[in-house]
Amino acid sequence: MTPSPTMLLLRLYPRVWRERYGDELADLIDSTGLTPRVAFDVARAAANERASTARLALAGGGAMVIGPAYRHPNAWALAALAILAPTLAFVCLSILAYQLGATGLVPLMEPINAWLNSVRFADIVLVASPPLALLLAAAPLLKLDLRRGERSASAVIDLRLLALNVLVGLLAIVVSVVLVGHILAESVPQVGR
Amino acid sequence: MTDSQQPTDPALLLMISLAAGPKHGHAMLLDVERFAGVRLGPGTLYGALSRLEQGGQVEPLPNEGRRRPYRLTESGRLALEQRLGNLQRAVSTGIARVGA
Repeated sequence: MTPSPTMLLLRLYPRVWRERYGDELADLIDSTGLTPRVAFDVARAAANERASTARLALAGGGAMVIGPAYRHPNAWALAALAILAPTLAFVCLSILAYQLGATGLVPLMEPINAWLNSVRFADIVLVASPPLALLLAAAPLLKLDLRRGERSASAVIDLRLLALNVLVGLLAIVVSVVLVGHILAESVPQVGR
Repeated sequence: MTDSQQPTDPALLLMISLAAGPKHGHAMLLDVERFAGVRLGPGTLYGALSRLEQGGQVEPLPNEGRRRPYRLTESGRLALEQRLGNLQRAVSTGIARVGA
């Protein structure tokens, strides 16, 4: 079942807070309507609750786990892959067409290159998607556990390696490196001209 | 009157609203808008409400479907009287000083 936008917003809150007030807040959002202003207000309030929980944990009032993507690693990896896919396809097709001599693909690439040159910010989106995909794929691998006992405070970083997330992350790095290398190779002769 | 001229402390507004009797979130939101001209966002409202509950100034009543009414506790009523008294003194002093 696809979570509603309201449910996604409620996930921004600390779990304990959400379990206590989540249903009531969801009902209120349903009553007022979920406008951008309401979404911003709820997101800001959720950030405040997160900050309060963190302050409480560090002051000895409890524990706090920061790992918003920890519970659904596959979904985050697939979202990263979806964001990476257009750039990945472009890079693969470019290499095949222009580096490996698959000339049959050149007619396919020409309209794509023309479109990229004509649409503002399309190239920026193309370059920005691999780092964004890397962040999304890597987010579920980290969890921060803040605790404070009677005598000491601790912050434990929990790092795990999940095959799908690591694979997508590495793919994003490779695509990013190839793309940046390509851009630099293209720009150097132009600078020298 | 612009927003910056309105009393906008959400906790104070909620306590004033609940002083008239128990209400659930949406009823509080409408009431505050009516008497103060301030439209609280749902996140702001529940942020203030949760802190008031943790402070023992309001308490929840049994659910009515998905909605849960809240009421002012005795200590909440005392805290509200004290805050309104302080505000009234500040307002009276301010009015006297500007010669209104």
